[in-house]
Amino acid sequence: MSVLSNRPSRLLASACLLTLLYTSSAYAESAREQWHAQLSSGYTALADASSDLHQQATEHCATRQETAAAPLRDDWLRAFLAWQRVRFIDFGPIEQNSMAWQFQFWPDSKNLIARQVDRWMKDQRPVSSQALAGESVALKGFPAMEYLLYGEQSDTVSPRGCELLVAISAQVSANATHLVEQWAAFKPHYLESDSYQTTTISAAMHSLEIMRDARLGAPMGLQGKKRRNPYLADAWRSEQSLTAIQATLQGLQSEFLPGFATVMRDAGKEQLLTQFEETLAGTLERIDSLPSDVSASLKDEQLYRGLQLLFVDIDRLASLLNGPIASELGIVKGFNSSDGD
Amino acid sequence: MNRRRFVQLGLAALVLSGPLAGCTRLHSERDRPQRFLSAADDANGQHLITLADHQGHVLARVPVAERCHGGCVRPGSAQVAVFARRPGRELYILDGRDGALLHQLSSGDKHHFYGHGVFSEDGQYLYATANHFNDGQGQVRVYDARQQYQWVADFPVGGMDPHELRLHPDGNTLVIAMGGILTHPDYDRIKLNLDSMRPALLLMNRHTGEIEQRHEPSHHQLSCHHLDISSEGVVIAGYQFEGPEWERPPLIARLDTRSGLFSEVALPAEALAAMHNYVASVAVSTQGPLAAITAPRGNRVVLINYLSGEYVADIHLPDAAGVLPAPQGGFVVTSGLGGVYLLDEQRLTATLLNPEKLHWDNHLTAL
Repeated sequence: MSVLSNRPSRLLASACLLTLLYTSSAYAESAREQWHAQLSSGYTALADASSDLHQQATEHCATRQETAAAPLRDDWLRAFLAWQRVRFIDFGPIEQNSMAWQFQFWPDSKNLIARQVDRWMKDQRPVSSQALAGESVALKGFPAMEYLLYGEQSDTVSPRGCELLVAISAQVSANATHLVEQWAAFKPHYLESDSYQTTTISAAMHSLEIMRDARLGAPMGLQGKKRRNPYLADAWRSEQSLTAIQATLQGLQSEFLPGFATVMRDAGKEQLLTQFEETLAGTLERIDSLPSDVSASLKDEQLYRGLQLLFVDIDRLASLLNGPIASELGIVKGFNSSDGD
Repeated sequence: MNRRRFVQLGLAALVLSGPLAGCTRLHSERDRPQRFLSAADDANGQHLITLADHQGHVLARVPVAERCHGGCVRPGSAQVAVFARRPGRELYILDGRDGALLHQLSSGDKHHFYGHGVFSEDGQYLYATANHFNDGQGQVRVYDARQQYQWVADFPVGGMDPHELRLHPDGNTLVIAMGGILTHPDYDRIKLNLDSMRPALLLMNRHTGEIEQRHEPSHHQLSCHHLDISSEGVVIAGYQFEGPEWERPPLIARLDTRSGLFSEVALPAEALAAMHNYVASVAVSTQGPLAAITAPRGNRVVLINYLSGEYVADIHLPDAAGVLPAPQGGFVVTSGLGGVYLLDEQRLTATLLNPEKLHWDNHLTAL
């Protein structure tokens, strides 16, 4: 399925970016004020799209017509991509109660998502948000809904399948609303603590590394088992793994870059900033020319070349941020501080 | 154990010089130049177990398949046990003199290790914290080192996530820091029960497995993970707070096992904030009344007086990881960013001993 229509055009994205960068009020704000505001918009978009998804699921399940499943799939994708845009933030309220995992349990090397959903499909227990609350994170988020909407045993019409879709979407919607509220409450603390400048930039670094190594490198066979495997990508069931990566890059462009530009300009590092901006824009341009999923590209050497070039682009972005930029800004990534025990 | 050895151990307890066994050096060996062992990763991400001398120079590197965590010395022998990091299942027994790998054991199909263990003072039994992941219940797995590390018993801890453990100077009691966090290897390192955690500091009879004391932190999301115990029987434990990062709960607990008094150490607001709600390792001095607590997220080492429970100082040290009392006083501290430091407790400075670029893990084991 092609979802090119779901992608905002590159030109539009660039125009939005320019507006953000050159609005005079943006200059007057600190980097953390900009980041907080951008992320507020991002989280709000996630909450709105999740609420739409829940409403669509509820309406669909009132009739349970297979033909009515298409709008539901569209709404799922919109909400899922809204999540991808803000997925790079790995601190603050999103860390509470493993909320990021509740939105998206990934990677799923043991196919727990299918196992958990199948288990609930066979179960006799009534489905409700409360019943799901104590359940596995694999059952709570976008991938579980994706399994119901696109999976091998896709089920959007049985009463049980519908009840699950409604309950999971309710949970996602409630989590997204809670996240918006918590992010707002977090604001004074975020603005007062200088260390969040490094934390925010580190989140972008980490996100690019995960994108390069796990989201793209692993399915391409460049990590671990050295075997191409589409099932290691995001959203392989809906065939949107590259669209998901694109959304994260767009999130970095619209929600990370404005505040980051302020930091870089304050530090007198315009040249490095320009390099980063141009590399990011070029990466987005590349991904626009690729299919929405990795599967076909893993089987075809010609298409695989496109993935390789994308991998190089993302590696360049990650290396820029981790190398010269981190060095100029005095950002040092810890070993135990980032992954202790 | 021969009589001379037994008497040495008894005397060591009397002069209150340091914990008797397990993961710290024996007092009778103080005059030897200190060497230590630690898990580390090299710049290429290769996982290692390393031996280093008292200047932090690496003497041996043992490549291993997964990242390792804590270790402990088998009293009366040159053996040292090193555990895979949660949710790893491997246990390595090395020769502490040259790093030769003597045995490798697995935690079995239904368990994974949490990365820490301790020996009985006669060197016969090894006690390792483990997760029985079918039901999420924490256990202390007991192995007989004299029988090729054959498994002999499991002692349930009555909760989840027992992490670091030490042997009390009485030789009969295990002191266990229990994090209270539910994990399952299917979910790697994801924390599955952050709203219903029940962390605790436990005293367990090592012969029977009976829980003799259980002390709970002041907040249910204060995950109790690391500890050390003084020769007098004062336990200092460090927490990792799983609640909102903008809150500032206490991070250090003190249990005087002589009186059973459990309390939490008050730090100045600034020092507490600087720790970023995360303690990596605890070491109680064998020379004086100080305990050092590392906080890698805050790039700090906090010193307290463990006898009085009072704050002394905090010292900046990047990604401060493993810590160990140095025989000449002060503490040896490693950094996850590379480097071994000597922390001077008088001048409150950290001097770089060896800048070698290894990513040192959270724990040091004196050999």
